[in-house]
Amino acid sequence: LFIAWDVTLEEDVRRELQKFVQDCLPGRNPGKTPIYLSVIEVGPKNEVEIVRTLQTIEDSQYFEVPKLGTEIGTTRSEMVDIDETIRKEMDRLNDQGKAQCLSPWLLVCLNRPSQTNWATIGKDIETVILDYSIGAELLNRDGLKHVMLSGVPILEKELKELKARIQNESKREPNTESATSLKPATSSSGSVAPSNKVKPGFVPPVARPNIVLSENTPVERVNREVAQPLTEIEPRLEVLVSREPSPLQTRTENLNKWLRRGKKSKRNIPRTRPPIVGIDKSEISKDIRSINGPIIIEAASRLNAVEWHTDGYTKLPEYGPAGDFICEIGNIDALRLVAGSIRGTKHKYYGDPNQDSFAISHNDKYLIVAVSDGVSSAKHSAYVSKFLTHSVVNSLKLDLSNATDNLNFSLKDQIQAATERASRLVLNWREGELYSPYEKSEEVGLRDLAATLTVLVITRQYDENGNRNVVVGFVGDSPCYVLDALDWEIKTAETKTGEVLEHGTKALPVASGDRVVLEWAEFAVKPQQVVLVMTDGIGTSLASGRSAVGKWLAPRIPRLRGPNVESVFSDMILFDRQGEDDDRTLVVIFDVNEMGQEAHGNGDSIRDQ
Amino acid sequence: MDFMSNQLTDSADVTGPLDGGLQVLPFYILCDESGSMAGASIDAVNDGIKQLFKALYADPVVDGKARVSIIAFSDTAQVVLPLSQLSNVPTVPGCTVRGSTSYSAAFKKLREQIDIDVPNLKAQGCSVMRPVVFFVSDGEPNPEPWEVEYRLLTDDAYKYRPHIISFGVDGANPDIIKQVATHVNRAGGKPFAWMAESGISAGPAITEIFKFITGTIISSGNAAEPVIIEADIPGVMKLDSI
Repeated sequence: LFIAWDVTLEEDVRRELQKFVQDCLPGRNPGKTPIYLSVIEVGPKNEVEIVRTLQTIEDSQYFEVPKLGTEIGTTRSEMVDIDETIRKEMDRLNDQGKAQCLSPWLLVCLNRPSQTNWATIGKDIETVILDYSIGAELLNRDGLKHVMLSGVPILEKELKELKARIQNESKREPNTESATSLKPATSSSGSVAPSNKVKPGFVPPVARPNIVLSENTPVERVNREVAQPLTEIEPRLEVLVSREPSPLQTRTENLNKWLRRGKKSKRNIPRTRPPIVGIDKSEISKDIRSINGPIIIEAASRLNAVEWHTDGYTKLPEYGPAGDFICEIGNIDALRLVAGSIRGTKHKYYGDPNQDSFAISHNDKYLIVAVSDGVSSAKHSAYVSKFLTHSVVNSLKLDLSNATDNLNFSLKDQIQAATERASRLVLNWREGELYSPYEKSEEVGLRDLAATLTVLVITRQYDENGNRNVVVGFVGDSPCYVLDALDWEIKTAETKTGEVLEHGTKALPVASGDRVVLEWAEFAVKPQQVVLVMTDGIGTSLASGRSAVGKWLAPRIPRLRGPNVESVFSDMILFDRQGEDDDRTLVVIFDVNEMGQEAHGNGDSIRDQ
Repeated sequence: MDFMSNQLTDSADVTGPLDGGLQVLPFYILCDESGSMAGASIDAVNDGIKQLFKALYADPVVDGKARVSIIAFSDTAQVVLPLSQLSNVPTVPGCTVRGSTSYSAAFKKLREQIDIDVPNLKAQGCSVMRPVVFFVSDGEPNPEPWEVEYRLLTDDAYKYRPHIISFGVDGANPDIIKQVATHVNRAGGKPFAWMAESGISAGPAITEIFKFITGTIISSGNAAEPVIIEADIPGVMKLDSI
């Protein structure tokens, strides 16, 4: 049994592997054939290193689990390929004459996407790959089982199954099938008698013409000798086995062929750098995707480790629309707006709809954007977010038609009035009204109606200073950012920061008669700057911008200026990251002639992307 | 965005930005294992722990976010389960009865653990939500100034102060159970405290309480923030309604 494991595996996984090996100990595994174990580590750069040579597992030999993050590449000089390692170990054992190896097993446990071609390694070895690296494609060939893991229970199940298979195999009588099949029959004088018992279709192993075999010749030596390549078949060899080969026998023969082949040439296994996504712009072309397609940032989520069409996943909501992907793209003068919303993986898993919403409108002076995030614990939050956003932008489109140049004062008043109106109107709906709840409005309490709201109004034209002016009114934690080259600046209060994150957020509607309290942000936007409004499905992980998501997203924004904008944008908003399962809404506004033309931040210029 | 408080929110002690790590919700079950819990009560606790494990194993969304610790207390307090993702725990722990009922030891141990756990999670790059504690007791506290340790745990000056949801059964003092519960940040801001109805034996009441705890953890993990489910607990009543 060869175990090849990734040194970056988490402790709980390594603990399971250790338990698995201990369960194979002779005391717990009363098989007739002893199990020999070798441990190989796969390092951070996919280099491999044998850390335990092939030897029997004795009760006293509890092997040590390497510490997390062992740097093989920097602390050990020798790097070998896995199949070469296995071949050497098998040869060594055979040469010692101590044991006759049956077909080995290879258990590979991976933690990161690997470009090593595992399908070609140990091709004739029964291989099980347990894989946490979500970006990897499932491998498929005979004798190989590739399992994508999503938790310790699945790992336990697979290890249990593997253990049962190994134990079952080890309970076979040694030298009854594979060994006997290769054992030559000898006459009393030591010469090999011709065979007349070989059935058609069975190709017997052959031996060197000059080999001298006797009854005392160790079986393993016979095996080694007959494994040597020949130029012609020596007919003096009799094979005792005259029946169809068993699967074990076939595998053993395949192993011998493989060992023989391996001595001629060393297979060239490509080595790859560790796939890390989202560090700088040079990484863009090296995106690693989850099994369902989204690009992985840092670590993959477990929900995206399962194909979306798997039973029990990606449920349609009882009351739609599901809102799995909604997108709006368009031009207003030199302004470009790309907006979209997706249903979070947790809502897909539970069969809930996308509770986020956004709405866009414009008149001859302003572009108006509203973004809302429905509160999960409120039963009808999906309706509230839709109503609030559409109501507010439609009101403002009309109300701002006569707005004066007294930007700050009038805009804030208009936003306040539109929000209060929406907060009031959302409490009552007519039966059958579009997207309205299935319950009557008089039967629904305030606790089942809750959503954040962020309203942004931006001038279409530049002012005398060459800037556009922006006013943002918001209730709750759907933030607004300005991106300048690679530098993020949050313009609305961060609601999820601190020593520990606080529970709760402000939400609308307010109780009838109460005043809506909006918070405000007012700022000027330079031509090359990008304005973004989003829900906390992105905002919480974007945080200050000095985050993995911030570093990943910033260099991608200028791509929205190019072709295939729908595809580019869907990659941005659908990213996969551990723990990120909420609905996401993102609105990006930029000047198509100016974005990326001048770098003001600390990062590199993104002009050439 | 989840936990609702229409136009009402707690003030966060903003001391610096957290850079968008994995959001985790720490839950602590602070459970009485004093001598009076012997028999059906402790069996119900241990069965409730098993059911909690089973429920979280089955839900990948919640399991990914919830971290659970179990601290049992009597004369002293001991960590039965360190703060863990339950799918990573190979064996289900249990409580055993011993000694008397020291609330002081319980609150002191809880604060010590929170002081270890939250920085650990943050060091791993996680964004940690304010911890939530489920306090379960069946008796009056020892005659000791337990309020001192309680204040140290719940004082606004303590940056990791948890929300405490309390449950009393059998011989617990309703006034003290109510006193232990903290104001959870939600509309109305009421503390959440429950007491088994008189005549209801401790075992069945604890079974129902653990069902409620499991439901709350599931709802909260789904919502990414604590959500106190509104369902009634059979045989147990809210203390503000007494």
